[in-house]
Amino acid sequence: MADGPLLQVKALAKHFDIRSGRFGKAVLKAVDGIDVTLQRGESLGLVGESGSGKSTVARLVTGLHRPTAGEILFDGVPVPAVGTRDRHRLGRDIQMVFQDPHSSLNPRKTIFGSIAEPLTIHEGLRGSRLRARVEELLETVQLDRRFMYRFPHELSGGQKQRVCIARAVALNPKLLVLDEPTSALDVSVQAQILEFLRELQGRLDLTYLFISHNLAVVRHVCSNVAVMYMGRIVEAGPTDDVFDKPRHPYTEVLLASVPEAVARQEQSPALGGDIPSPIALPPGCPFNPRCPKKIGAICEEAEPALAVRPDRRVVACHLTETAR
Amino acid sequence: MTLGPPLLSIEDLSLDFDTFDGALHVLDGINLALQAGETVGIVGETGCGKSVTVRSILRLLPMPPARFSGGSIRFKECDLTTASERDMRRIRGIEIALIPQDPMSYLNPVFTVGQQLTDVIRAHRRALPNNDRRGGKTVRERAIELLAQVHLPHPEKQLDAYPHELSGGMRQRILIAMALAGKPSLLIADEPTTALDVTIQAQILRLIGELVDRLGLAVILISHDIGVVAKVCRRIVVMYAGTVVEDALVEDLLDRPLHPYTQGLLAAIPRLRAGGRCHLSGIPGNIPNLLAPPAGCRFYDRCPLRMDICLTQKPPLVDAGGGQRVACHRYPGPRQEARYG
Amino acid sequence: MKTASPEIALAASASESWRERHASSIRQTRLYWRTYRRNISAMIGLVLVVIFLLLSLIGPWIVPYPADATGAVHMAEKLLPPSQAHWFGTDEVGNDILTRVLIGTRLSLEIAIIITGVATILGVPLGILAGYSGGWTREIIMRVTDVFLSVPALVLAIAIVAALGIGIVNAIVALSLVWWPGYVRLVESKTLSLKGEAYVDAARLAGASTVRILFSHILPNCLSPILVKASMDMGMAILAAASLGFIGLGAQPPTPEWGAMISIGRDYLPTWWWYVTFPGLAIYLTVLGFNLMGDGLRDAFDPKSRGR
Repeated sequence: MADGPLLQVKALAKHFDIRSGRFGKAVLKAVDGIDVTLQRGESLGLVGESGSGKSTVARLVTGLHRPTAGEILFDGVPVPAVGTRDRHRLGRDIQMVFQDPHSSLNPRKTIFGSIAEPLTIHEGLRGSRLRARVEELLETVQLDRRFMYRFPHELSGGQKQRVCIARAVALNPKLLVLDEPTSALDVSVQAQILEFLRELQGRLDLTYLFISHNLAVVRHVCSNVAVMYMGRIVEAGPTDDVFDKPRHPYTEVLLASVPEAVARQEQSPALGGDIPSPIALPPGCPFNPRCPKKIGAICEEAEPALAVRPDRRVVACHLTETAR
Repeated sequence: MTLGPPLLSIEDLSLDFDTFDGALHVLDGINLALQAGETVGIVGETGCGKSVTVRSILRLLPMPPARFSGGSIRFKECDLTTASERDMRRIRGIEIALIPQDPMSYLNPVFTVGQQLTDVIRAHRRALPNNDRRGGKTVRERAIELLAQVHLPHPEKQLDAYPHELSGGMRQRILIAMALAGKPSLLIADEPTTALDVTIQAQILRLIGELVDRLGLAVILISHDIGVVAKVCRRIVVMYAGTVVEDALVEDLLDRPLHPYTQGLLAAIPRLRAGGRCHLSGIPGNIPNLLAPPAGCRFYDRCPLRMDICLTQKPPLVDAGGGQRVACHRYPGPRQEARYG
Repeated sequence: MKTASPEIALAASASESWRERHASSIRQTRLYWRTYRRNISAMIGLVLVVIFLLLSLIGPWIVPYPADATGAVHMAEKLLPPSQAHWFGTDEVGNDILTRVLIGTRLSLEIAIIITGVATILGVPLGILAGYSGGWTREIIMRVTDVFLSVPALVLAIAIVAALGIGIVNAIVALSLVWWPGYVRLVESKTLSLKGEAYVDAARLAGASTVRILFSHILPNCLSPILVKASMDMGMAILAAASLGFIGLGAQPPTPEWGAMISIGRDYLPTWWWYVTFPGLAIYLTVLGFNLMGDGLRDAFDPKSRGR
C-alpha cells in the first residue's frame, strides 16, 4: 500500500473536436490542465457551474473518457481507460455514483440484477452466495430486503440512489466518485442521503471525489474543495477556509450568488454577463470578461498560474500574485 | 391591517385527477390570497401540488382528467374555476402571465425570438382590441421595449436570433419579456431558475425583484429552494401533499417555523454560511397515497409531534399570531376567515 | 430482519418462491394487459389474430374436403356458388374454396413467421452493432442498409425472385432479404439513444464486457419497438407474399396460397365473384388484425398512454 496520495492528477486535459458554425471545426476544451491531489480518507468537492468541466473530470478519473493530455495516477499507477484489461482490475478500486438516479438503473433489470452485476463479473458469485451478498449490501444502504426483486420504477428517487450506492460499493472500492448524487432529489431526501454518505465514508474507509454545483452540499460533506471555471481550477483548499475567506474573485461571486434560507439577506452585487462558451475562450484569464476585480491588461493577456500558498490554499489569480 | 380586496383569492380549492386506478386527490382545501403588488413564494417538495395549484389558476391543466372538486379561485371579481374559455383567454398572458421552468422547451426552435415575441404582442392586442395598452407603438417597437426592460443586451439584434443561439439566462429573460407583453397584474413564476446556473440565477432573481418594484407586479414564485423564495418574496407558503401547512412572512417563517413539516424542511437544508457541518436531519417516510389520502392531517405518518386528533381530523389553517398562519392541531388559533385580512 | 447464522440466512432467502421473485414482472405484465384491454381496436385485432392462429393450427383437421387442398379435380362441381355443401363455393376445377382458404391460413402463418423471423435475426444484431460501435462499422452497415432501403421493397423482391426462379420458397427468401433493413434502422437509432444512458456507463465501470452490455442492457430495452414492428410486419409479410403470388411469382398452383388464388380468380369476375372475394377477405382480415394488434401494443408500451 503506497504512502502517497490515493489519487493524483497532473496537467489533465480533455479536448473534444466539435463542429462549429456551418462548416468549421472547433476544439471544446472541457478540461484544460488541472492538478488535483487526493489523500486517502479525504473528501474533495469539485464545484462549478455549467462548462466548468467538473463532470468531465469525474469521467476522466474513472476512466470513462480518455484524457487528451496529462496523467491520472491511482495509488501511484496510471489509470487505464475503461474496457482495457488493466482497467478491469481497477474496477474494484474506483467506482462512481451518477447524477440522475432515474437513468442510472436499467429499467428492465430488477434491483437484484443491478447490484449483482459487478459481483458476478468480478467475483464470480452465484446462487445463494450471490443473494446473500446482495442482501448484505441492501442492508448497508438501509433498504429493506423486499426491494430486491422490484423494478427501478417502483422505487422513489432516494431509494434508487441508495441502490446505486450499493452497486458502487459492492466491490469495496477505495475511491468513490459521486457526480451530483443528490441534485435530482428533494431536500428532505437529500439530507438523508448526505448524512448516510458521511457515515458510510467512515464505516467503509472510502475516499470521495464529490462533484456538485451546490456549494452548501459540498460544505456539508467535503473536507476540501476545488472551484472550477471553464475547465480550470481557480481556487482550492480546505472547504471551511475557502468558503469563509475566498481569495479568487469568482469564488467570492459564486458564494455571494447562492440564495440562503435566511431572512434579511443583503442584495448581493450580481455578476454580469453570461457564462462564456467553452469553444471560444477569451485569452488570458478565462474569468477576465466578467471579473469585478480585474486589474488591467495582465488579466487579458496572461493566464494566472495556480500558486500554492502557505496555508494549503491554491489560487490562480493575478490579484493574489501582485498582493504578495 | 386594512387592505383592499385581494387581487387573487383561492378559497378551499380542491382538485382531483381521474386516473385508471381512481381519483387522485391532488389538492385538498387550498387557501391562499394575494394583494396587488405582493410577492408570495410557494415551496414544497415533489408531489405537494404547488405546480398544479398555479396551473389551475390559469386553467392550464387538461380538464378531463383534472377536475375541480370544490372551492373557488377569485381573480378581480371573477371565479376562474367556472369562467368560460373565452374569459380565460382574456386573462391568460394578459392579466396573469406565467414564466415556466425550462425556457428551451417553451421557445419554438424554428422561429426567431423576435417572431415569437411579436406573435405574443399581436395576440394580446387582438384579444383586447379596444383598450389603451398599445400606447401608440408598433409591434416591433414594443418588442424592443420589452427586451430592454429585461436587460437583454442589444435588443434590436436579438430579435433576429434563434433560441438555440442564446444562453439559458437570455432565454429566460425572453420568456419574462413575453410574460410582460400583456401588462399583467399577476406574474406566476414556476421554478424560473431551477434550470439555470447559480450566478445566472442571481441575475434573474434580481431582475424579477426589480420588475416587481418598478411595475408593481404581484408575483407568485414557486421553488423547491427556500433560499430562492426568501430572496425575492415577502411571504412564503409551504405546501405538503396538496395542502397548505404554513403561510407567513419570510422572516417569521425562517426564524420561527411553526409547522413540524416546515421545521423538518429547514433542518434538512445544508447551510453554506454559519459554520455548516452540523447534522442534517431528513424527514423519513413518503408522501401519502393520494388515491386514498388519510382522513386527518396528511403529514400524520411522518410527523414527530403528532397527536391522536391528527389522525382523524384535518387541521384548519388558522392564525397563530402576527399574521402567521399554520394548519396544525398544535396551534388551535382562531379560525381564519376565508378572506385575507 | 436479523437472522441467527449464515446458514439460516441462506435458507430463508432460498425460500423466496418463484412467485415472490417475479412479483414485479407479473405486476408489470398485468398492467400492460389492462392498458391493452381498454383499447377496443386493439382487442378486435387480438381476436382476429387469435382466430387466424387457431385456424392455421387446426385447419387441416376441420376442412370439409381435404383432398381439394392439393388439387383434386372435380370438373362436375366447378364454379358452384356458395351453398350449404360449399360455404365459399368452388373454383374452376371444382375445389372447395373454404378448404383452400383454411389451408392457405397455415401457409400464410408459415410465410409470416419465416420472413419476420429472418428479418429480425438478421436486422436486430446488425442494428445493435451499428448503433453501439459507431465509426466505420456503423458507416458500413448503415450505408448497405440504405442501399437496400432505397429500392422499392416489392420491386427488389421481384428482381430476386426473377433471378432465383419462381416459387413460394424463393418468394420467401426474396422477401426476407428485403425485410431486414427496416429492423436495422429501428434498432440502430434506439441503440444510439441507449448508449448514453447512465446505467450503461455504470455497467462499463462494473467491468461488463461489450457482449454483456449488448445482451443485458441494450437488447432488453430495444424489445418494445421490435415487438411492435414485428407484429405489424407479420401482416405486411402476408400481404407481400400474396402480392407476389398475385403476379404469379410466388406460390404456384395447386398450392392454396391466398394471393395466387386471387390471381386466378381475377379472370372469373364478376360472374363468379366468390372465387376472389373469400381469399381477399381472408387477407384483409388477417392484415387488419395484425395491424390493429401492433398499434395496440405500441399504445400499451407507451408510458404516456397509461394511467389515464
